[in-house]
Amino acid sequence: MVQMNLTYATTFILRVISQGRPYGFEIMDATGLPSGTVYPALRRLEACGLVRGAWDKRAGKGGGPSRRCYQITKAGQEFLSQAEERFPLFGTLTKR
Amino acid sequence: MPSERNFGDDLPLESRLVVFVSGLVLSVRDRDPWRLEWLGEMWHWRKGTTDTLAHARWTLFKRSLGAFYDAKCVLETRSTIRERLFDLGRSPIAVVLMLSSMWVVLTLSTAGLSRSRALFHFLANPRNDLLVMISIPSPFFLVVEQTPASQAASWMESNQGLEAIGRWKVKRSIIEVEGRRVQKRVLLGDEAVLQLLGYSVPECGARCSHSSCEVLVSAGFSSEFQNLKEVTIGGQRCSVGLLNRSSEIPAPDFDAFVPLDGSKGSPEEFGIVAKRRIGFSPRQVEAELRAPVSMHPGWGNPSVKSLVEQLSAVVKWILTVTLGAIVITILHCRVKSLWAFTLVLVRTVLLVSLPSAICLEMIVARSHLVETGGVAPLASVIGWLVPLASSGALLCWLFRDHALRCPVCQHCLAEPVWIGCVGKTIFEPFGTEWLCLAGHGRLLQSNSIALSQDAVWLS
Repeated sequence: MVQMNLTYATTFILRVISQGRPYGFEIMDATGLPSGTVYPALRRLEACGLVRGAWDKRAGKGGGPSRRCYQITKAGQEFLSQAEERFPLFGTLTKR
Repeated sequence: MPSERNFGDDLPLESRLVVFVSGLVLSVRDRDPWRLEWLGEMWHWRKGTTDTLAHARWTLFKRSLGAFYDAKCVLETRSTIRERLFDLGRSPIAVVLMLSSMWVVLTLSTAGLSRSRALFHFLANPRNDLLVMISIPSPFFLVVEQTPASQAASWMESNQGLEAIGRWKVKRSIIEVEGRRVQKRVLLGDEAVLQLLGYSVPECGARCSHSSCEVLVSAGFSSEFQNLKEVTIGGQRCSVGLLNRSSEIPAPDFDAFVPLDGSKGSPEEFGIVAKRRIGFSPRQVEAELRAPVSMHPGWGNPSVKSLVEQLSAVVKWILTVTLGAIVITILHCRVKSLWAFTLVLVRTVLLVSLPSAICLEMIVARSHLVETGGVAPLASVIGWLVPLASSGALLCWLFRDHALRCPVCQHCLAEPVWIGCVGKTIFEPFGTEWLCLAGHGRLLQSNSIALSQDAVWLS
């Protein structure tokens, strides 16, 4: 497994996924981060086992193509908790 | 894996193109799912957006540019080098591109394959150590040398490298004289130089042989060129013509003529002659030249340099710059592995080869320009400055690029984050933290100019 380093961007993305925004472009809309940051971070999060990617077949039934959605794993939840402990202000700012 | 569907037609062309091109760097296994993910996301986002059509198109294009970074990340996290090489090997376009680029790099780095081969052949011949290049302002002097073709072939063989460089050779042609095939060479120089070079120049006014006159006339000289002399050069009968400084140069079909009419466009130096001087060093030749030159007011000091030394200096310069760049890069960029060293080596050589090739080309071309009309000092300086400046700029870029790479895996560092707090700016200046995507560590860089500190790598 690839070692994951704690950064603001990855923590932010993980937080948004845990809040129920599973698609890449939705994450961009929510975080304001560019696609060149969001997608590489998603790849690394997936490689580390912090998020799990899967094809969303429901999206394809509506007439459009299938989408790949990302869900936070148990390890990802623990990672997010550690991140919020490290960045307490960040956790306050991103609370729903 | 979703089924293939042509939904991409609904998307803007430029965004699809960016995704398509970005996907080319991926292995075949990863390429299609990766493209489907991007195109699917773009399609759904475009359907759901409330932006105007033009704004949505622009936003989509900006987001599609991130596909390059994403493809690079996928390549580094999923694909192996073996897969990438296997994919490249299967693609004929990639093979053709790779071979073409290798050919271009080799050609550029050696200023032409044939020329570099000839150059090294020339440098490797110990007899060519005696060749000197003489640069001296002088009156115009023309030597037409007739050599039997067999001897000419022998001369060419012994000076193969020099001849093949091309810019040094003078006009040569094989002609028929009295039923014999002879080679005619035209050399330029002044009387003193030619004597020092081993030519025996007789008194002016000597009449030439009929056959030699025919040769000259047939070569396109005008009737003004009448002051011919007959000399013996290396045991061969030759015709020598002398033109005064004020004489009008006939319009010849030779490249070697230089108008010395004192006009603004006249070259300041003239008379580069490369000739073997057996038993004489360049210093001895220069000492011999200074005596007759001092007797001619207005003549500049001669410059005598060994041709081999000059050409060797070019090669040494290329090697020195390349090795220096490698050493600086290794010290500056924390190279810690053989793979990293190889990468630095290859990139440095490739980057330095182009300006070096231009420098080499300029040096060889400059000698040609002196023979064929001269080169302005400003142009000469620009000719040196441009390759040097471009070489320096490329090396600076290379150093900066390698400074922001992981010393272990040589991947580009990403996700820069500012660190530090305002209260500590006096003693601990603000810095930027860079991250290795493969998880090998972090790089802490100081952002302060006043309190600049070396970057620290934390593994």
